[in-house]
Amino acid sequence: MSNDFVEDDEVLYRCVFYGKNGYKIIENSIKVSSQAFTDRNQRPSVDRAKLCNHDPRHTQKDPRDGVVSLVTKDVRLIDSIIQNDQKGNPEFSYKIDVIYRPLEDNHAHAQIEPSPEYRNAKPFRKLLERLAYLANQREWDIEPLIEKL
Amino acid sequence: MNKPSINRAKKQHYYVKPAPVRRVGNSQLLNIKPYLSESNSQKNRIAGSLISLFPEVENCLPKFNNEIENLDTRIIYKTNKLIKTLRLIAQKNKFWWYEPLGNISIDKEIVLEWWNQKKKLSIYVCSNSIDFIKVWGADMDNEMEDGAIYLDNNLLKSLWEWIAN
Repeated sequence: MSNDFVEDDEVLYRCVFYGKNGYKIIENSIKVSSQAFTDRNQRPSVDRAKLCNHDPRHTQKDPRDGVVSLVTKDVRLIDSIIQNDQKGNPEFSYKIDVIYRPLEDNHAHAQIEPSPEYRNAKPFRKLLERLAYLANQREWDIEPLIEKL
Repeated sequence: MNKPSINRAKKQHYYVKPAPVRRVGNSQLLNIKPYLSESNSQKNRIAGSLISLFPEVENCLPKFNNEIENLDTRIIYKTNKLIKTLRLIAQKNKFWWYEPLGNISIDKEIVLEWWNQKKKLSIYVCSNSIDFIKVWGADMDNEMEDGAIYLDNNLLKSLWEWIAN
């Protein structure tokens, strides 16, 4: 079966970089920040667990980085990213998908992409909030290094 | 008088030395206006030097972040004032308080985040506006709300009351 389509039940890993305020410890739990999902092109990168032997270390860039995960179906179910018109009235909702975008050095790479492209920053902010919410509902696959003071 | 002075260093390199900043009562930094009229490159360098004068902002942003130099000084100023005001509101009303997690977004805004139980509050401080997003559940239609605020005590109090309770 082709690997080009990301199945709904696939787990996606996201790296939470060490030292970049991607998380905060709140009462013994580590909350991942919405900004841990940000992306210059508004297409957050993830790795398909299935294509990296379900090993979240594949996604780390540094051993101190954390790794969180999402389920593809949950991402695709995000259907309330609304684009408002200039008067603030709802115009349309963005369709959010997970698209396989393999890289030369990362065969597991995929992106969380909207259709159509975001018109301004606000819908993307909401997407980031939603991705962080979903990630916070799951256990960390790798907790980031916490420095003891 | 308050303009940055230019020092001549060795090998004909120049750098901008920020002017001293005076603190006057609660209005904090009164001489920020001269900075706002500087060119972009000057502004960036000034923002990098200024950050240490805004402890609320400095404490919540990641350390060693080069993006700080790209921040608009108005954003630094507004964020500092916002955190101080919210903390004061929490103290006065005996509300819950937690120091925010701060980040610089790809659009060069400062993003502040707080979590309390099932509630999450994010505030985006931009040069021309301050926006918020409240999240309290998985249903985006009914359990997420966004809007704009400004540095008004009553508005901020109702926002903070929401996350605190």
